[in-house]
Amino acid sequence: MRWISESLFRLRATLLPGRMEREMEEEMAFHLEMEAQKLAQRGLTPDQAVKQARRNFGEPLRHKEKAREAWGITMIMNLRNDVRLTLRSLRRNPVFAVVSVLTLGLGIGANTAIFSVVNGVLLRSLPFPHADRIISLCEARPDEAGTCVTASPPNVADWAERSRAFEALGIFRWWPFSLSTPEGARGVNATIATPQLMDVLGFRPAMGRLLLPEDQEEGRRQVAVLTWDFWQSRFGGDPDILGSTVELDGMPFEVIGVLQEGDDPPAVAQARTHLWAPLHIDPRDEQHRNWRGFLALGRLAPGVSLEAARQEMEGIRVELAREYPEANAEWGLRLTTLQDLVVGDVRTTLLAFLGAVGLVLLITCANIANLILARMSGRETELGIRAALGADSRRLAGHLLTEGMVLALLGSAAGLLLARLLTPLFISLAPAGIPRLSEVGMDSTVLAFTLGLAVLATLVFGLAPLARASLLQPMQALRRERLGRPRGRLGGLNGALVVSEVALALALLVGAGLLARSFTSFLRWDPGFERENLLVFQAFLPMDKYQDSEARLRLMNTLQEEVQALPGVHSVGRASAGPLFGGWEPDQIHPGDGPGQPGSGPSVRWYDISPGYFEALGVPILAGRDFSPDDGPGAPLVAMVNQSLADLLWPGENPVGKSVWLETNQVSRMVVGVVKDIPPFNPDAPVEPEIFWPQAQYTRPVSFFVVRTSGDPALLARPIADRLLQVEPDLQAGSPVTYDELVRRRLVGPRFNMLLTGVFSLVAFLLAAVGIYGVVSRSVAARTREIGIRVALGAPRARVIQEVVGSSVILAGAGVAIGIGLSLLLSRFIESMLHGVAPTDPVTYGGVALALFVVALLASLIPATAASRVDPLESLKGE
Amino acid sequence: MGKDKTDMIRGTLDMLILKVLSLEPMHGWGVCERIQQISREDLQVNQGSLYASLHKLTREGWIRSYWQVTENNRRARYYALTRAGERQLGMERAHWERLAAAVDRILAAT
Repeated sequence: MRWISESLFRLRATLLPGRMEREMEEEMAFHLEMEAQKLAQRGLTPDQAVKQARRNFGEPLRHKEKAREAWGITMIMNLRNDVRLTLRSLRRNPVFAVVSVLTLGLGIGANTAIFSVVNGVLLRSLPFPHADRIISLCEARPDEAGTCVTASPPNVADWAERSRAFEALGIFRWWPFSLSTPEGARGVNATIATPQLMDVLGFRPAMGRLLLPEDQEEGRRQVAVLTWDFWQSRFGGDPDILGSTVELDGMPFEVIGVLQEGDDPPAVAQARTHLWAPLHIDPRDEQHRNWRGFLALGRLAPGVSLEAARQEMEGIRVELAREYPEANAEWGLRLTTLQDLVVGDVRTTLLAFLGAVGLVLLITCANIANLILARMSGRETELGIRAALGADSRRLAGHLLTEGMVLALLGSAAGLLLARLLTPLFISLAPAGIPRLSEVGMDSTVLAFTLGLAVLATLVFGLAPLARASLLQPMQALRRERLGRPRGRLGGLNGALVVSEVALALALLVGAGLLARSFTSFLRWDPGFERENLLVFQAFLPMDKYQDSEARLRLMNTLQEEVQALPGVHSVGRASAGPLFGGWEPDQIHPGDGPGQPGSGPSVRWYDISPGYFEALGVPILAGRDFSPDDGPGAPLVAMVNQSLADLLWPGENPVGKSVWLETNQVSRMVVGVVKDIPPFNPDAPVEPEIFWPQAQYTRPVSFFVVRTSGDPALLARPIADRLLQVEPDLQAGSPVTYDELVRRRLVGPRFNMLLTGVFSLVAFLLAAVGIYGVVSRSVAARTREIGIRVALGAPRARVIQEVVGSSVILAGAGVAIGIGLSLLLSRFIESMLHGVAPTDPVTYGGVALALFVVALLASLIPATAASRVDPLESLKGE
Repeated sequence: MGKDKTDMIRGTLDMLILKVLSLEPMHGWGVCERIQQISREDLQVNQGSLYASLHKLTREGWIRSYWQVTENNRRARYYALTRAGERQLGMERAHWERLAAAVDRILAAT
C-alpha cells in the first residue's frame, strides 16, 4: 500500500507545486515566529529575537531546496522548467520554431498517412473471427508463380476427410447471374460455395439460416442466401423475404436467409457479392477431379501452426497424387494465410511507399539537426557559462533533450493534423485494386507509430547538439569565442549531415526515376494496330430467353450487324477476350489430330472470335485466311494461331492445313490462318502462344465487341448502347469505352506509383539542397574572419571560392557514392513494380547522381562567392 | 553555542522525529523543541533541515500532516504518526539498540 500513498503525495506535489510551496513557506514562517517568541521570553529584544531565530534556522533557500528534493519530484520539476525555458526560447526565435515544426510536421504527417494505409491494408487482421487461422489452399503446378486460386472439389473433399489440421474446409467461386426484375434483367454477382465455407469464415445469419449440406443435393429446390446490403438495396429490407422466390437465369431460387451486415467474402476478387448459392455438384463425383475452378479456404484447428498444416497436407497431396495420377500427378499444393492472399501484390507497393516517406523523414531530421546545430554555435557561450557556473552536465544534457522533445511533440501534433488530411487524399487518388482501402483510418497502432517517430526525432534533435556539447569544455567555449578561432570546417558532424542527406535523397530519386522510366515504357507500348478510333464493350445475353447455342449465335450475329449498320462504324468484330480487355483461358496443345501424352504439351491461351475481328482490331493476317460465315457449327473445326504458336509448333513450316489437339477442350482443329503477334502491354512479358476459333463453333452467352469507327469513337458510344437495347431489351451490355480509355485505366497504377514517389523525392531533393546550402553557408560564416585575413593578405578570391566549393564537392561525392550503394540495395525491393527497366538502370543512376552533384555545387557556390566578396576590414571588425 | 552539544548522527533524526510524534501530534517547531528538551539540550537539531526530513517521512507515508489551529490561535501544520510509521519506529528502534549495544561492548572491552 505504501507506493499508493507515496504516488499520491508525488502526484499532489506535481499537480499543485504552488500550493506545496505556499504551505512550506507558511510552515517555516510559523517556525521562525515560535522560535523568536521563545527567545523573546528568554529576555532578548524582539528585534534581536527575530535575528537570532533566523540564525538558528539557517539558510532558508537551501532548506527549502532540500525539502523540495524530499518531495521526490525533482526530475519532473526540472522537466517543467526546461519545457518552459524551451518554449520561451522558441518564442524568441519564431522562424526557427516555425520552420522546424513545419518541416517535421510534413515528414511525420506523410509517414503517418502512409502508415495508416499500410496498417489498414497489411497489418490489421481481416474482418473474420479467427482471421489469423484462415488459410488458403491452392493447387498449382510447381513452376507457376504468382497468386494462385485453384482447387478441385473432389480433392478438397478428400483433404477435409483426411486432414486433422483443419477444423473446417470449404470452397467457393464467383458466378454472374441474371436476376429477373419487373424492370428487366439485372446482373448480380453470386458466390457459389459449399456450406463449410461459411463456417470457415464464421458467418452468422441475421435472419433465416445459412447453407446446409443437404442444399447441395441434386434435384432439391435451389436456395439462396442474401447479403445484408443486397437485401436492403434490392428488397428494401423486406422482413417477409424468407421463403420468397427470386429468379436467377430464369430458374427459381428460394431465399432461405440473410447474412449479417459486413459478412462479405474475402476481398480476393473485386466484385461485391449480392447473394450466396450452394455449389450444386456432388463433390465426390470423380469427373470433377480435374476441375480446378475454385478457391479453397480452411480454418486451422486451435494451436495448429501453418507449418504443421503444410507438412500434413503435403502427405495427403502425395497420397492423392498416387490414387489419382491422371488428375493430380502434375499438381503441387500451396498453403498461404488468407491475409497474404488478399494483400498479395499490394504489399510491395505499400512498403515501398513507406520506405520512401521514411527516407524523407530521415532527411527532414537531418535538416532540423542542422538547424539546431546552427543555433547551437550561437549558444556555445551560453552553455559554456552555465557549465562554468557549475550547472550539472546531466542537467544540461536533459535540457537539450527536452528542447528536442518539445520540437518533436509539436512537429508530431502538426503531423497528425496533416495526416488526417493526407490519408483521404491518398485513398481518393489510389488506383483500384488495393484491397481493404475502406478499412483505412487512424487507430491506436497509428498513434503509437507517430509517437515512435516523435521519440526518434527527439533522440536525433537532442543528441545532435549533445554530441557537440559534450566535447565542450567550459573554459574552451569561452576562450574560443573571444579569440574567434576558426571553426566550422566541413568535417565531423556537419560533413556527416551533408553526406547522409545526399545519400538518402539519391536513393529516393533513383526509386522515383526508375518508376518514371517504367511508366514511360508503358506509354511507348505499340500493340501493332491503330489505337485511335476503336471502341470496346461486352454484352451478356439473357440466358433464359436464348437457351440453345443456335439462338445465342443468331442474336450475337444480329447485334454485330446492327452495330455495323450504324453511321460512322467502319467494321465490327467479336472476341471472348483480347489485348487489355477480358481475361484468357489456358489449354494444352499438341500438333496432330489425336490426344498426346496427358499434361505434356505446351500451354496455350485460347479465344473464341467472330469473322472480321482481326480486321476491326487492325491486326494483319500473315498467312492463310480469316474465318468466314461458312465456318459454322456443322463445318469442319478450324482455328487460327498467332505467329508465336506457329513458330513454337512448326518452326520453318507453313502451319496452314496442319492439325492441333487441345487437351482440356478435348477437340482437334485445323489451322486455316496465322495472325501477327500482339506485343503484350507489359514490356517484360513474352508474347504468349495463342489460338483462336470461330464463335460459331463454340458459342457462349457472353462476348466482347470491338468496333472500328471512322470518326471520334466516343461519339458512337451512346448510339451503340441505344441500338443494342432496341434489339434485345434484356441484354446486359457494358457501356462502350474507347481503346485509349482502356490504356489509360492500365496506366492509373503505374502513374500513381510514379507521382507519389516523385513527390516524395522532389521534397527530399529540396530538403537536401536546403540542407547542403545551410551547412556550407554556416561553415563559411564561421570562417569569415579567416577568409577576410587571407583576402587582406592577397589571396586570390577564386582560390577562396575553390577551397570552399571543393570541400563540399568531396562531401557530395561521398554522399553520391554511398547513395548509389544504398539504391542498389533498395531498388531490388521495387523490382516487381518495374517494367521495361532494370533496377540497376545506369541512365537513371547516372542522371540522378549528376543532378545531386550539380545541386551540391550550386548550394556551396552561393555562400562561397558571397564569402569571397567580404570586405577584409569589415570581417576583422566583425568580432 | 555549546561545543559540548552532540551532533546528530546521520539518519537518527528520522527515528527521533517518529519517536517524538508517537507521543503526540505536533508541528515542526514543537518537534524540534521536544527533541532538545528530552535530550536536555544535549542534541542540537538543525532546525532548517528538519523540514526536509518531515516532508520525506510524509512522502514515505510514515507520518501524515494536517493544518490545525494552535492554543495561541495560530494556524500550523501538525504531523502525526501513522500505522506504517509505528512499525517503522519499531524497526528503527530495534536496529538502534543492536547498534548501541555493539558499540557499548566494544568500548567496554578491556
